[in-house]
Amino acid sequence: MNLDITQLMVWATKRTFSAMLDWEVEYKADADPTAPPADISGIVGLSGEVTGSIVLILPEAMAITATSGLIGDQLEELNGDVVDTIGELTNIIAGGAKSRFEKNINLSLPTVVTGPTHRVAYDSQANPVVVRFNCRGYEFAVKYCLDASATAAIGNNAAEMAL
Amino acid sequence: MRVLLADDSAVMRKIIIRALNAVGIEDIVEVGDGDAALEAYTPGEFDAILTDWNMPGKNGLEVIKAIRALDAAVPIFMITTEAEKRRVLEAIQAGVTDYLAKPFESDVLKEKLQKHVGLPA
Repeated sequence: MNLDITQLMVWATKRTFSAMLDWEVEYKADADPTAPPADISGIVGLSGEVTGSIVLILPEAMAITATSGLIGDQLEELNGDVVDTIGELTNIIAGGAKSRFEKNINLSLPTVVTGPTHRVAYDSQANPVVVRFNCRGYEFAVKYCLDASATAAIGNNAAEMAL
Repeated sequence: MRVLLADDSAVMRKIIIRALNAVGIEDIVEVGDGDAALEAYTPGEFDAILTDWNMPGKNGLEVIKAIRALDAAVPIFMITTEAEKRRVLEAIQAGVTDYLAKPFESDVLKEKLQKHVGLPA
C-alpha cells in the first residue's frame, strides 16, 4: 500500500533538493524504518479529500548548510533563516506530492520544530511511514502519515516516477 | 522597473530577489503577507506584482482579485507550490498574468518577465 506514496515522496524530495539547492539525494530503500533523531523538523498538514501530515526531518548541520547555500551567506548556527528554509522546503515537498494526487487537498502553512534529537510522535492509531535519504554525508528523512484514501488518490502518476 | 513581491518565506523572498537582481531589477518592495501586499500596492506605482498563494492574512488569490479590481493591466505573477490544474485555473480566473510552480528555475522567471513586462532579452 505504501509503495506508491513512498515513491511519490521520493520523487518530490529529490526534485525539491535538486531544483532548490542543486543537491543530489539518495533514497535508502533498505534503511531502518524508524526516523533518525531530528534537530529540526518541518511539518505541513493536509486537509480536504486526503488528510494527514508530511514531515521533513533533518540534522542541524544539514539544515544550516542548506540555508547557507540558498541565501548565499555562510551561517554558523541555527537562526530564523534556517527555520524559514526548512519550512519552505517542507512546503515544496508537500506541494509536489499534492500536485500528483487527483483530489482536492489544502496544505497548511508549515510549522517548524527545533530541538536536539527530538522525535515527531503520532497517536497509537496512526501508521506513519519513514522515507530515509542520504545527501552529502547527512542522513535525513521524510515522514508521512496520510489517511487510507491517499493511495487511491494518486492514480497512475506514481508509476512514472523513477526511484 | 518597480516590483512588488509578496511571500511569507523570507528565504524565498531572498531567492526571488536574487533572481530579479540578476535580470537588472533592483527596485523591489517586499512584504510577508497578503494584507501587507495590498497596503503597499498603489495603482500605477508598480510594473509587476509577484505573489505567493499560501500566506498569512489574505492569500495570493485574494491579493490578485483585489489588485485586479483596481488595475486591469499590471502584470501579476503567482509563484507557488499550488501546481494542480484546478489551482492554475482559479488563479487565471482571478486575473493572474502568469504562473510559476515552486521549485522554479530563475531562467523561467526571467522568460516570463521578458514576455509580459518587456524586460530586455
